[in-house]
Amino acid sequence: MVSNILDYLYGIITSTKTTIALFGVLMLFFLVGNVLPYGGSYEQIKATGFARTIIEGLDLLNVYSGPWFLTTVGLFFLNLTLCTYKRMKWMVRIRRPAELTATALSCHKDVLEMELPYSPEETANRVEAFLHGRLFLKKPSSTRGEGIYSGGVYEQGFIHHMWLSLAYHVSVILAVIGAVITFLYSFEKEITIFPDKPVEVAAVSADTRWNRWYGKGEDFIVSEDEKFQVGLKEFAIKYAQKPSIKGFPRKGLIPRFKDTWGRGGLTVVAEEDKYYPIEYASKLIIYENGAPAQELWIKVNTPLRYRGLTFYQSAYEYKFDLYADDKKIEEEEGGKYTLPGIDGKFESGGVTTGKLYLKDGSEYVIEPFVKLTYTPPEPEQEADKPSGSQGMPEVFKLIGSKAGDIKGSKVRIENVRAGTILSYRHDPGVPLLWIAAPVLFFAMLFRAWGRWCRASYVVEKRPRGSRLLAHLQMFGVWGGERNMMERLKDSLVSNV
Amino acid sequence: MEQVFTTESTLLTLELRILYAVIGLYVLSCLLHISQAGVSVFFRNFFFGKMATNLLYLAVIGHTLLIIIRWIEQGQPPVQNKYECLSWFAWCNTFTYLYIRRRWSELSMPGIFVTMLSIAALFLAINKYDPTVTPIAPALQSPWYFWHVLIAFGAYAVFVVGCSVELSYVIIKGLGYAKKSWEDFGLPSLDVQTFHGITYKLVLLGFPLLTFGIISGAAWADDAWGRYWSWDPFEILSLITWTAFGMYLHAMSIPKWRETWGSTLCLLGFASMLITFMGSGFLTKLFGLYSMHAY
Repeated sequence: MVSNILDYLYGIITSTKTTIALFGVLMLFFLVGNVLPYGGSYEQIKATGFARTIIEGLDLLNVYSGPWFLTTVGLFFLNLTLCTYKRMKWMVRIRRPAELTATALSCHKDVLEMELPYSPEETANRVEAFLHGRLFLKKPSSTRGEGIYSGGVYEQGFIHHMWLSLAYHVSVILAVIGAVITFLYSFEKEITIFPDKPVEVAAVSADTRWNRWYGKGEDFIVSEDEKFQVGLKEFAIKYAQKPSIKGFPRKGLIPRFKDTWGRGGLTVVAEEDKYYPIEYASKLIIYENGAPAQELWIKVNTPLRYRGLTFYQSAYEYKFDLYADDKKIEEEEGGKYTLPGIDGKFESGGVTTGKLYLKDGSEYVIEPFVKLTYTPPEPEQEADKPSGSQGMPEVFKLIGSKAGDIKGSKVRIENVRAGTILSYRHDPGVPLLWIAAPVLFFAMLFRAWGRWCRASYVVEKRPRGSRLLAHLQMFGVWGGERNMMERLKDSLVSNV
Repeated sequence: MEQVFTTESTLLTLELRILYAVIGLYVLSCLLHISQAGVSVFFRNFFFGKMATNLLYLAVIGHTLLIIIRWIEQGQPPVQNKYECLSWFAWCNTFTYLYIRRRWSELSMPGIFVTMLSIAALFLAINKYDPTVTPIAPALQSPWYFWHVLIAFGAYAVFVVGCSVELSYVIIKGLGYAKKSWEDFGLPSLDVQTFHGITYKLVLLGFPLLTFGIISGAAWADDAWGRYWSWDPFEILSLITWTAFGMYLHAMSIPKWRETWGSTLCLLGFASMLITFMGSGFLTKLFGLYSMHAY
């Protein structure tokens, strides 16, 4: 009774229909996660009523770390593993020599059946010559049945399609395992480093799901051996000119059409001070036990791998000191400044400095400059003026340490310093994914794009001549059973 | 003060003028394809279909020239921003379709869907996005970038043509109940199963390409952004497309599911693919989501 139930469950779990159903459920989860801000807060959700109840009740904002999704992934993993096991058992079975009978071959949908005037021996030779000429290799087989003269199984293809199919299914299993390891054991942090202010980094963290779920968060202790420091020696940024089409409409098919075909064509210009960062890199110093251990450069797409962590050049940040009439002005919240004697706020557009590469191939070093945007205060409400009608913002440019006149004040910037923003991550699942990914791709590619063919035939004796039954099975994009069958037919009837 | 770039201005003007001409050819071709479909319901005459195909060949030649000019301007493969990607997508669609239809010179129904999509892509490109050639952003300076974008769009193009074939099969088969035959639409009856089988083969062709697109995107993200998977809306939509076509391929291994379920899942994959490529920006804005692919 129990074994019947288990067999029944095994049948369901290893069914292709179950695989399709599980894919469908996973797709629903993906759709939910695509619509709702994953990892966001419920304040961002505009839904109300029943929809909100569902979203909050099922915690759909954390759909990919929720029990429903994880259970579905678990079932998918089980289905995949058991199907792969079932496939392996089938592959062992098909390695046994095939037993051919005329009845079995006739049952196939596209079987070639021909009455030929040749002797059975001649027919068999012609079939084998056809197959040998197309690099088919003979496989062990036997025939059974009265009247059968001979038969055979031939295969064409470098690797049996089942091995390729097995390989990419196994690689998906490895990929899922890798993703689970990432889910449980990875952590990620961000650091900002300014010159002469190294930041301490630990190679381990309490902030992994495994540590959190098993209550190690509060008791987690990082030993001194697992800590090191990262300092910034130098930050370099390169810019290129940012071209734009002068006067080109922001959008609109017809306005843009008129512009393209009219007024002598388009004009591409680069405006002064409009630069486009094309590279930013940081020269880091790694300190072990307080002493410098390594110096190296890191930039976008060239991460640093050190002690199980991977550091990425994420962004950068510039700071400067602002002086007005030789008095230092403190930065307010939101990056704003208030200058003495001037109503309204000044806001920094960031520091621009580095190397500029021009279109003609030349380069020059940009003297650091800051653009301060001045927004005057909102005037008191007057009867004949609409509210919000404050003056237009003005932009002031401060270059280097030269003082600029801003509304009667001598304003300058000093001590421009660049900070590098790095993110670092520990992810032990990545190596497994690096094994799984190429196997998945290449196995799938060869299975889909390659051609594998199996030809089975029997030749029966007839009073005058012989009868041929042949069946072709092809896999892969370039498979063409009909064409091959037609050619086989032609080769057999030629010279009759 | 501004600096004027004369060579860039000339090339960009030439490029956009060719683009508008190419769009015009695509539109004319699409209208002729639709006319042919209408005519086929009443008569067995393929004049409009042949004209449509000839115009499409002309459009592809012009579009190829456009891409070459862009490549020269950029100095890099032109798949950097949305404008260029949409143009590349439209070209891939049409080129793949013209390659597939060589066998059936009188069949033109799939051309309706292919040209419509190419027109939609180019309309979106020229209407909404900035065509200026800009320097490559640091995140795009990766050996993965070129192959990821090229092959991912190759996959999308193959799926577009496959799904267009499927749609045509479903429509013509439906019209069969109105006593129209396959020959009325330019397809010999003996070739029907071969024609329908093209959908399966195209999905089989495109599926490894899409897999590579996802894998290479993950590898690139690991190098550039610090994690191989961020549940980014664009990543999820490409995973949905992969899942949908995975379902289709599995369904095709079940003989009883090949017809109805196969068609349904193929068209589901098509829909998710369109949303992935063209609608992800719209979705991110609609739901206020952040996406690293929103460019």
